[in-house]
Parts: sequence; C-alpha cells; structure tokens
Amino acid sequence: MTSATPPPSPTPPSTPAPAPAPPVLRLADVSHTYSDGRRRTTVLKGIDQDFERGTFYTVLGPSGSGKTTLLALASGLENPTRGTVSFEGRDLTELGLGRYRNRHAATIFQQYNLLTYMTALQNVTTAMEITGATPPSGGRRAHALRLLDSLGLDRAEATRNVRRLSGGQQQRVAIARALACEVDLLFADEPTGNLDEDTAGGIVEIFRELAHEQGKCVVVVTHSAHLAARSDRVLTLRRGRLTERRADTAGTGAPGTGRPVRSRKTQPTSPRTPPETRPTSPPTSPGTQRPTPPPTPRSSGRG
Amino acid sequence: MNFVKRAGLSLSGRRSRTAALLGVFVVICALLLGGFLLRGAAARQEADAQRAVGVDVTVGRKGLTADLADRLDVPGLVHRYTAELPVRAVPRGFTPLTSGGPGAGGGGRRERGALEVHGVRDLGLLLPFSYGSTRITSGRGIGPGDAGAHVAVIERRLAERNGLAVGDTLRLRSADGRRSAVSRIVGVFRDPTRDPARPMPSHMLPGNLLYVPMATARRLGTGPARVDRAVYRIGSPDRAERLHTEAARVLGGGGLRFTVNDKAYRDQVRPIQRVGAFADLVVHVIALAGALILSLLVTLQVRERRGELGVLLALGEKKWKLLGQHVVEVAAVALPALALAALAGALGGQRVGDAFLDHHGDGDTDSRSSSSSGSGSGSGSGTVAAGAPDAPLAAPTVRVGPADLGRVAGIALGISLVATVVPGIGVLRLHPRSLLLDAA
Repeated sequence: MTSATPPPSPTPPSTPAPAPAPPVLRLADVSHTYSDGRRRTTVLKGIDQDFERGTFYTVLGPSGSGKTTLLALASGLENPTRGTVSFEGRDLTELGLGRYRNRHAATIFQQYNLLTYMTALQNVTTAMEITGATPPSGGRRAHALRLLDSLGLDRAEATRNVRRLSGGQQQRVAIARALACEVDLLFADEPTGNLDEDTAGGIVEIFRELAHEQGKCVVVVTHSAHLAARSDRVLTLRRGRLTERRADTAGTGAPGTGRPVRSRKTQPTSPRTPPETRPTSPPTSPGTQRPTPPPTPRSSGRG
Repeated sequence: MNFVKRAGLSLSGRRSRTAALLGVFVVICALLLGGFLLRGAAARQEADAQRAVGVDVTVGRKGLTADLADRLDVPGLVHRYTAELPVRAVPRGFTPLTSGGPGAGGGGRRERGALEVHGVRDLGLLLPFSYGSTRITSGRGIGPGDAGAHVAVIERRLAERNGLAVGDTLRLRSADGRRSAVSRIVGVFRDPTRDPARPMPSHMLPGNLLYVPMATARRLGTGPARVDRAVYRIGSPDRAERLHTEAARVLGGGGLRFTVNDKAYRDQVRPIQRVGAFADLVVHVIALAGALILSLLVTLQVRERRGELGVLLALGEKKWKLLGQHVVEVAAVALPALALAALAGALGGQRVGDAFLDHHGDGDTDSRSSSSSGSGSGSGSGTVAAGAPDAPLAAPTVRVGPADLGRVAGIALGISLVATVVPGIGVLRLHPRSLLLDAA
C-alpha cells in the first residue's frame, strides 16, 4: 500500500515586511565641540538617540552637562561639529536648518526670547505668520488669544507689551508661541522654571497631551524630577554622554542610574501608530484643569 | 509681507529710538539738500553771470566789415556781440560842441563832419560802457532790438548845449551831404573825459559822440562799412580759444587782433564758482559723514538686535526677510526725514542761499566800475544797464525741486541700504543659537 503523499502545496510568496518608518528625529554619533581661542571643549560625545512621535521626553543632567546644546542641535539652531541630525530620515543639512525650524520644530527657550517691542498676542501671531500656521477657525488672532487664555493670560495681559509682564507670564507667552507654530517636534528648555506649581502642572499636562493626543514629539530639558516623572522617557546627560533610565526611576532624582543609549532604540509603537494605541499617559495631576490648546492644522500651501 | 508689519511694530514699539534715528536722518537730509540747493543755485547764478558778465573778446582786423562781424556770432558760443562802425555826420537843427580857439571846428569854418557817429548793435558791450567809465544818465542804451530803428544816444554835454532830452528828435546828414537820417533820442550818456584844453576838431570832442544803430551809421557813412572792432561776449574764458579759431577761419589769421577781457568774469563769476565748489564739497562731505554716522547707528542697532534676529531665525524666518525688515524700518524713517528736510529747505533755503551767494556780490560791487546800455533811467552818476559787468545779477533762486529731492532720497536710501545690509549680512551668517547666546 502506498500512501499517497499529498503534493506539496505551493508556498505563497512571502510578502516583505514593511520597512519600519524612521524615527521623527535621530541623532547619530553626534558630538559637539566649542572653541574658545585655543581651548576646545567637547560638550557632547557620540550621542546616538532616536526620538519618536507621540512621546514626551525629558532630559536631565547637571548644569553644564550639555543639555541646552543637545536641545540646540536637535532643534536645528546649530549644526553639530560631528555626526548627523536627521528628521524623518533626512539629514537636517540636506533639509535645511531654516526650513526644519520653520516647518517641523519649535523651541521654548529658557530666557523666553520674546520680541520685546510686541505684545504677548503679537508675539504669538508673528510666530504663526512666520511658520504659516493656520488655525482651524477664527483667524490667527483669535487662536492666539485662546492659546494665551488657556495658559492663564487674559485678554488684557495678552495685549500688553511683554516687557510689562512678569517672568512667569513671559514664559507662558513663550510656550504659547511654540504651541501656536503647530510643529512635529517641540523642544523646551526649563519651561516651568518660573512658573508656580499649578501652572507648571498645567504646562506639563499640555506637553503630555500634545504628545499623546496629537502625536507630537516633545523634548524637555529640565532639572525638575517632578516633571521628569511625568514624562514617557527620561534621558540623562552626564559628561557629554546620554543615557536613558526608566521613567519609573526618574522621579527619584538619582543620577547615573541610567543605561547608555549608544544603540538606537525604537518605540514599541510605530511613529505612524494612531495616538490612541500609544502608551497611556499618567493620570492628570490636580493642577491641570486648564483647557488643552486646540489642535492647529498647518496650511498646506505655506512655504 | 509680515516683515513689513513687523517693521511697523518695531518702529512704534521703540519710539525713542525711532525719534533719534529720525532726528539724525533729518539733519543729514537737510544738510544734503542744503548742499544740493546751494550747488544748484550757484550753478544757475553762474550761468546767469556768464551770460550777463561773461568774457568780452574784442576782435579787430583791417577790412573787417559788419557782415563779417555778424558771421562770428556763433550760436551757443557767443551770448551777445556788437560791432562799432564809426562815421562822420553833420548836425542839422542843432549845434555841435566846439573847443574854441584857433584850429577849433565850428568857429565859422564849416567842417566836413562835426559829429562822430558810431553805429553799434549793442551799446553795453563797448569797452567804456562795459568798464563803467561811461554811464547812461538818462533813458537807455541801444540794444539788438533797436536794429533798424531810428534812435540815438547822445552825450550829456551836447544835450545840454542844445536843450535836448530823451524823446527829442535829431536830424543828421552824411558828411558828403547826400543822405540824412532822423533819430529819436532814447538815451543820454556821460563820458567822463574832460573837454580838451587845446583846440581840436569838433568831431574829436568827447561831447560830439553819438551812438546810433548800425543801419543808421551805414546810411550816413560815405565809404565802405569798415568796422573798427567787434566785441563778443562769451560765457567763460575757456571758450575764447574756440572763438579765436572761428575768427581765424572767418577773417583769416593775418593781422587779426584778438583781445580777451575777463576781468569782470574773474570779479563776479569766480566767487560764484567758489560757492558752487564749496557746495559740492559740502554735499560730498555730508554724504560721506552721513553714511558713516548712519552706518554706525544702524550697525549698532543691528548688533543690539541680535537677540531678536536669533529669535526670528529660530522661528524659521527667512534671512532676506529679516534684512528686509531692517531696510523697511530705516527707509520708513528716512522718507519722513526727507519730507521734513524738504520743508526746511523750502522755508529756509532761500535765506541760506542769499547768505552764501549774495555775500560775495555785495563785497565786490564797489570794487568794480561799470556802465552800459540796455536799460536804465537814472540820473546823477548814472545807472548800469543790463549786461554791464556790475549789473546786479538776479537774486539766486533757491528752490527745492524734484531732482534735488530725488538725489537726496537716493543718497539717503542708498546709505540706509548699505548701512543695514552690510552689518546685517555679517550677523545673519551666524547660527541663531550664537545670536541668542550673544544677546543673552
């Protein structure tokens, strides 16, 4: 008796797995050195780090560790002396730093860097004009007023020259300006340093919502362990090298417990994954009852 | 055009700085405009002076006729000219002057022609008149418009002797008695030459000299119309060479007498030229100084505003728009400054022009003598006529014209552009972070 063996069924051709989308921002072997006459100081040493959409990062580190420099390189304010910074797989030098800053990245500076001859409102609308951000309805002025209001600045304060605002109010204007630009990447250098606890908590919630609901990548340089505890990923910069530690240990404020991040990492979720599939955000802190700024679609035809 | 709007916000937000920049611009524009106005007024007055004063060139040659003299009236080279055709004539109905004593004319022996009649085209160009030794005391002289008219200008002594005045009629007959002419007296002149002490023929007495138009002299002449000399007024000494060439071509080089008299020119035109040259210098110095001052100011401003530039660059603003904003800001200050300077020029320019251009005229008038022919009805020491060297030049007109404004605007905007763009480019070569760090 012979047993018939069924003919081998034709094997369907295997479909290649889709190539993973590049991270929204990648720092590859980035080093940066300052020259001061003959003296050369290397601030960042061979940084390799990917930043994903929908993620809220904090960067911790002692003063002088290069956090602000890292932020400047990532936000396209400066070119690294070695290595590459790329946005969605495109080298920034190829994309153009100005174009990158205009369309994809916004920065909240530690020193606010507001235009001092303008009102708070004008600072925000000017940024929208430059970046070409178009609010869904009501025009730029109305949108800017809403943003400022959401950050605790009423109409009278919004129409006041920024030099007549307190440090905390100026910081909120700087935040509103960055939010108004509607970019993919938001960088902030000590954004809550001059804010009271309630307002700072509200700002952190806004960052979280920008990351988790609008799919933006938010990178915040801070000394605040509390802020770091609210972020998705905590990076530590020490002696020019970047390491990552788990978010659940970030709040301890114990530096040096992270692991080196020489190898590139990717988020468990694809950058293209809808926001609702991303890791859930921590519960909203008590001081964050402020309304979330409405999403601002960018105009398609801006240049 | 958000950078234009930003420029407006910047100007209104920094009022004190804007006012300071406006002040500097007003001063620079006013000085520039003043220089241009002064230069323009000096140029106009120089041109007027060249026409009115000019350089007198006397051309003489054996066989020179009135027709040949006419051919030297080269358009564009000669402003005015006259020939002098001397003839003798006999008075009819009035008595010529006599010197008295033996040998004097008119004492009973009938002279062939007791009067010296000179035919002229333009009396003011004759040397005694242009130098001012001889002056019109009543009426006017003979000008180009009198060609063909029956007019005459007589010496004061002859007029007094016969009770003649402007408006009276003279009857003259040619020396051979064949032709006569009737002329109306239009002017009386005074020749300072005294009557000779010794007896002389009547026609040689200074009081017996009459001036009539060329046509009248030709009619009274008995021989070929040979002119003594012709006087040409040209604009400036450097044109004399051209006239000489022309005279040699028309008259032939042999025996040509060519005399250039530029004393009046030197006395009157040169000071105006000096004012013009001074105005030129003023314009250049102010333009240079203004450029430097504004460059420094704007450069300092650009440096002061590094932080702002850094912020705008960080937002992704285009560099040309940042430069555009600064240019618009400076231009927006320069244009009102120009308007204010124009207003100041319109109000005060005339006074400044008078102060510069009249000053030298007042000082020089006394040092010159003069005379002439064109017009004048004075008495006593006489009046000068149009065209005489010290005839008062028309007051210099200092007016703000579109051309002057255009030049000042061009210079002011040029300075603004250079002063903004050059330091701006230097700053904008930096990365925004460097600018922000510098500004911090």
